[in-house]
Amino acid sequence: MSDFAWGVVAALVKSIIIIVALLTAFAYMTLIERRVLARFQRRVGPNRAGPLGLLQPVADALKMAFKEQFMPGRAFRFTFLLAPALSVFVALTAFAVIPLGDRTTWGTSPIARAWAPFVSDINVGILYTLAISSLAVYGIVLAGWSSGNHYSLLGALRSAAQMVSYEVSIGLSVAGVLMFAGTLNMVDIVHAQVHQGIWYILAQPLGFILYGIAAIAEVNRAPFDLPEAEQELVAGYLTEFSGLRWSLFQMAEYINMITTSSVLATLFLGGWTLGALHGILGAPFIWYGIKVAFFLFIFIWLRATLPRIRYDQLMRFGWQVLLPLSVLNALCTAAVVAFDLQWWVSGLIGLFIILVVSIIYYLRLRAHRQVDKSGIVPKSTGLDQVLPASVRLVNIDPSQPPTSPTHATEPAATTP
Amino acid sequence: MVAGDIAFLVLATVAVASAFGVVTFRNPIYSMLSLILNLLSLAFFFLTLESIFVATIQVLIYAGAVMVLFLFVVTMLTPKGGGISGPDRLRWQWTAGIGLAIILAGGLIISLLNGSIADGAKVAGMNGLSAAVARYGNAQAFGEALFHGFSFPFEVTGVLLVIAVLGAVVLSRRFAHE
Amino acid sequence: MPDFMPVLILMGLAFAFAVLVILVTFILGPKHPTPEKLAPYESGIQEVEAPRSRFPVKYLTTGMLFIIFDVEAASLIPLAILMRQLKVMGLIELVVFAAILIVPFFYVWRKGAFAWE
Repeated sequence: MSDFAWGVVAALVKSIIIIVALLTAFAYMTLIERRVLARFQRRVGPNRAGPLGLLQPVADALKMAFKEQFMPGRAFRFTFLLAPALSVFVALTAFAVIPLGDRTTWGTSPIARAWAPFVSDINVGILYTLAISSLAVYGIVLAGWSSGNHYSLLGALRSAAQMVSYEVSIGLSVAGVLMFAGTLNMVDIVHAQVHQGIWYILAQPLGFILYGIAAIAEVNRAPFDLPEAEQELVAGYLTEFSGLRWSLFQMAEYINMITTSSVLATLFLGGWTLGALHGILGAPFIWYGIKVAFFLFIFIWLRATLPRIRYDQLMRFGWQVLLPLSVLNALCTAAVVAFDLQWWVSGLIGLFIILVVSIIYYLRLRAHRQVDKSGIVPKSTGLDQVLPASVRLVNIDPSQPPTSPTHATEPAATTP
Repeated sequence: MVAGDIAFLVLATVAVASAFGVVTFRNPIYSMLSLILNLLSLAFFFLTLESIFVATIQVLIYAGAVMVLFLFVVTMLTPKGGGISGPDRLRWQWTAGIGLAIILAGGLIISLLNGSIADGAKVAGMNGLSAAVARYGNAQAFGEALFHGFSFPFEVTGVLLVIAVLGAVVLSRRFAHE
Repeated sequence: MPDFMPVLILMGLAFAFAVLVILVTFILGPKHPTPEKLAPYESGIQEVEAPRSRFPVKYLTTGMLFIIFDVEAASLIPLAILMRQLKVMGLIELVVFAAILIVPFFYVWRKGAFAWE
């Protein structure tokens, strides 16, 4: 067989392995998330199906497959079916450039190189992932639009506006890493980290945090899971979906989480390498797996800890905090790289900016709290007690504020 | 060579068919989807020309950003029932469109028969970019070309973006007040 | 192109998987549509008006600003990977480009395009 044919065989095998691995990871992610969330809430979680509940994903999949596959009467049939398929297609293909290990070293022939542990080694690397992920918004908007009800459409539009707002910050916060690495290729970025002897999280602490926050918003996870804000929008764009079509959206969400965690691990934590232990047989997959699992755990942790933020706060945070900070980060990193300064200069600048921003937030938070303790209700301007227009479905006259808005925002006392 | 020809024919068919779909679909969302397909097929054209960086940017900007705006407009303004119906209000558009299409096709055919465009592209490709691509890789070669030869146009692009921002805000503010 | 071939294969398989699942949804599961079930979900109340009418222009503004800043981010990426070679020259270009875009950013901020009421 020719080299090209061997390349096709290798690519087929690797693609099938990756798709199966991602689907398995998705299935067990749902179980792990439910178990971990239960632990956070001092419950046990699903443990009946099989030992430790390990057969729960199988049971869920079977249940989903035999649910009524419902389509509302007013739906646009083609786009209604296209939307979930598109979501999962985008999620699966975005993973193509993630390196699970180094280029093969047991041979330099094209056949040997074709079996490296990643689908492709294209030199636009990270940009490919960004480009493909930017298509994810279509699945959501088409789903909301074709369902034909208010909740779906509003949820989809909100979700789209949220995703595009945070996408800009993603592109800009990656720029710092690219300046240090000097390449877009994911494998070469890891090599650059090995070569320079650091993980880029040390040189780019601010970039890491910005990318992390923007990525959580991009995959619509808590505390940014506005599209599925049950209290306001039922289930957002998912409202009219059931059975396997609903599962496809969930699949896309979890696979996107895995891809995002992998990008974070590759760009900021040295991918499959681990300093001195780098090179031990079998180690690459293990280190890569541990790093990704760590980020996935953080996703769950955040969901268990943080309340969902309000839509106007979300948009303001994305444009007025994340975007300027990522431009600032790019400028500072550019200065460090252009003047050939040491990596720790950039790291210190990043930490300093993080410190300043945290202090500002802390002071603002304390100012709010003092008002609450003294029992003085902050003076109403009339407008701040009405729901933002992006949240409400009917128009409320600002001159007639809703009854007792201050009591409504107080959390109810809970008795265990 | 044969594989390249087949790829070109398939892509060209998809591109032309989807472009045709953009103007013939009654439902604007299907028009929009065909436009996305068209832009994606252009990205694959760039791929066959060994320009993976431009292909990625094509997906990122056109399919991922510009079309999202179209998506907002279409989902917000679609009339009930989802389709545009009734007689065409602008009949002269057909004649004007056909006339312009004939002029464009004529111009393309003449320049292709003369071979001026193709020759120019070939010469530029041999001397400049493809050599640089072989040396540094795609994105780097693009950057080199952009920041060594064309840094002033690059900054002017920034000014263009400024005008676009101002226009967007001024227009939407006016609509919001009405 | 040969570099990209594996990605095309992954795309093909992912597409096949997505289509397969959608096709399976037609075969499996019961189908008992009733008029009530087919009606759009409105939390149990009668629908006042169909959606797809008019929505806040805010979304449109966000979309336009997104395109502009996305173009900015995309043009910074080739500059970023060349920063080591271009050195101070590259820094100057970046600062000028950023400065040109910071002015309208704050203008838009002042105009309240980011404030969702």
